[in-house]
Amino acid sequence: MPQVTVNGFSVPYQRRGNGEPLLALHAEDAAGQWRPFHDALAARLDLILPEHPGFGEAERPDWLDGILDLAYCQLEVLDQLGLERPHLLGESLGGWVAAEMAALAPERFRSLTLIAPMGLDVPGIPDVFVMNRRQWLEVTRLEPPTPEAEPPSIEQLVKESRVHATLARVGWNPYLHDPRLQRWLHRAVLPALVVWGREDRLLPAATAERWCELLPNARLKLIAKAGHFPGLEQPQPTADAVLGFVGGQAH
Amino acid sequence: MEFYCFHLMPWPYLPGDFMEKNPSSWVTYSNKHFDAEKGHALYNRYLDELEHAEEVGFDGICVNEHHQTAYGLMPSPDIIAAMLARRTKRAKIAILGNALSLRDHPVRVAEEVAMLDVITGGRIISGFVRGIGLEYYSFSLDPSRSRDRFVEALDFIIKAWTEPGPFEWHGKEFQQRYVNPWPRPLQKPHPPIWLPSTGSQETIELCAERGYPFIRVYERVDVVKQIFDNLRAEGERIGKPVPRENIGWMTPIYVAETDAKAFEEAGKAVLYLFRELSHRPMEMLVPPGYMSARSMGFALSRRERRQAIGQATAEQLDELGFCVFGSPATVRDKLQEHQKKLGFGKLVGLMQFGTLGAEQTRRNLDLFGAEVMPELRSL
Repeated sequence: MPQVTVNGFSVPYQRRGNGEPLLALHAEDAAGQWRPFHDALAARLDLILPEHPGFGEAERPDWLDGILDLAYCQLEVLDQLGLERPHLLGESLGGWVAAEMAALAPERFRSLTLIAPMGLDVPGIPDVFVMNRRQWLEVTRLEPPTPEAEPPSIEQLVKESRVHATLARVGWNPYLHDPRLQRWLHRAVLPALVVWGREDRLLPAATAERWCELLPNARLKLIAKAGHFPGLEQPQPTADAVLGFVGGQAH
Repeated sequence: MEFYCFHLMPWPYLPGDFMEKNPSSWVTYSNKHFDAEKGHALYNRYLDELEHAEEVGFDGICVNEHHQTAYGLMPSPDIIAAMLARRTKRAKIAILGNALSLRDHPVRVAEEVAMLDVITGGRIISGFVRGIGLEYYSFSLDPSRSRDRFVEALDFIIKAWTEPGPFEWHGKEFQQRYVNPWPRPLQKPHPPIWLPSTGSQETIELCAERGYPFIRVYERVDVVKQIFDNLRAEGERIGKPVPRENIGWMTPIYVAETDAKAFEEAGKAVLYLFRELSHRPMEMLVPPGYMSARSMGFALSRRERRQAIGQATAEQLDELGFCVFGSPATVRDKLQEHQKKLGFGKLVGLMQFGTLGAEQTRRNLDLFGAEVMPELRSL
């Protein structure tokens, strides 16, 4: 996988497709995964999918202290790849990072797509840090996959634990949000699309409305028959919504 | 051999159907079940027991820190130590330990322990811990910072005790422009530091490197042996062999007139410790980032063996070395055998555990002090 170096950390990224560039930021449990959703986007766009430090194979870098470090890191990925005003998209944790980036540097992006982003203080979000693997699937998926017959290996558990530890580093307290973000989100004046699964059990649908209130130029698209990860459970309808929106923002 | 009497100050009134009806005796078990009238009697009884341990000859008495749990009622070990400070005259008071990572600032710990050390004329042993995984839910504290906070707070406190202030501290976790705590401890260079631990590789390395006594809380004897062997091997590796007085083993002990009576009188009480009071989800015991990858591999390899203890009888627990029960002769023999196998120089006995009542606890202390301790002194 190609890489760019940010603050001494090698950030791997995948890049496929032709068209206007779209920087896509993955969800907390999806580092390195190129999914059918990405294929559907790459059919019409130049899709760049970098990893967040601490969520992939490599150990978390020492400088990763909070969500803003992830946002600055991806802004630097953008610089190093020489991307000229790409579209920006993020799912869940990646949506939170994307929202921070859009508030910090709205002029750097042509549009913003947030798919069920974390990042706002909304009451009633269940505690992901007490969940085992099974409970996580039950709360995030409309139809949780059947559990594996074999329990996960120690290596697998250690790897997952590293990802969870990085999520704790950015979202344990304040819980999965940044109090500053809602104070500064009005800076993200670019056109925005907020996408939400109708059956999201992790972040309630009311959260989507809050995002649309705080973003100055946002519209909402609900995806039927999807939980917290519409891109995973409804790849084509979700990609269609994104492509329709992004196509409307082309120059 | 040195002898210490440990107390957890447990809440013994969980109902019979507690395990079926509740997911945990930690963090989420409602404090509406705490009855302050009963608590009043309990605290005073438990303090009496620790004071009596000095009378029967223990070298030290030990308290600890846990939060939001029926497992133990000592959220502030320094407060309990302060009460013992004026009611005891000879025994060391071991705080096992202050949970450094949970504190807003380590200067408070440096101050409190120094106060206790000065007041007791230098009888304080200052144990430090990170707090177990569950405390990170109780404090909403990011567990991925636990190790860094612990080590930085430890270094801060030692410097505050040993170097004249004021000085500045600019750490990653703690910043303080003026570090200058009054009082400073009486013992020089500072009160002994012990590290009670479940045996993470990081703590083993810290103990070996700095010569701190390492204390392992109850666990299967074969696992304890593995951990103590790791500690000794680490000492050899870095050219600082670990002396036996730097190895401590903590275990529930119960002595009665006969072996049968020991199990009859205390069997249920110890099961309450290993079942009701230890009832908590694995996810909360090891929150994300609390353990390093290398320590986690070791811990996970033990998980199935650990889970099995929830079903064990008191006799089986005793057999595995989770506790030591019997007549004075039996307890002497077992402890001698464990000592030979494990090579510890400090025995930390949990002389009250679970639902064990006042009368049994007192007799346990008396019998242990009169008929077990003297014969094992020379070990």
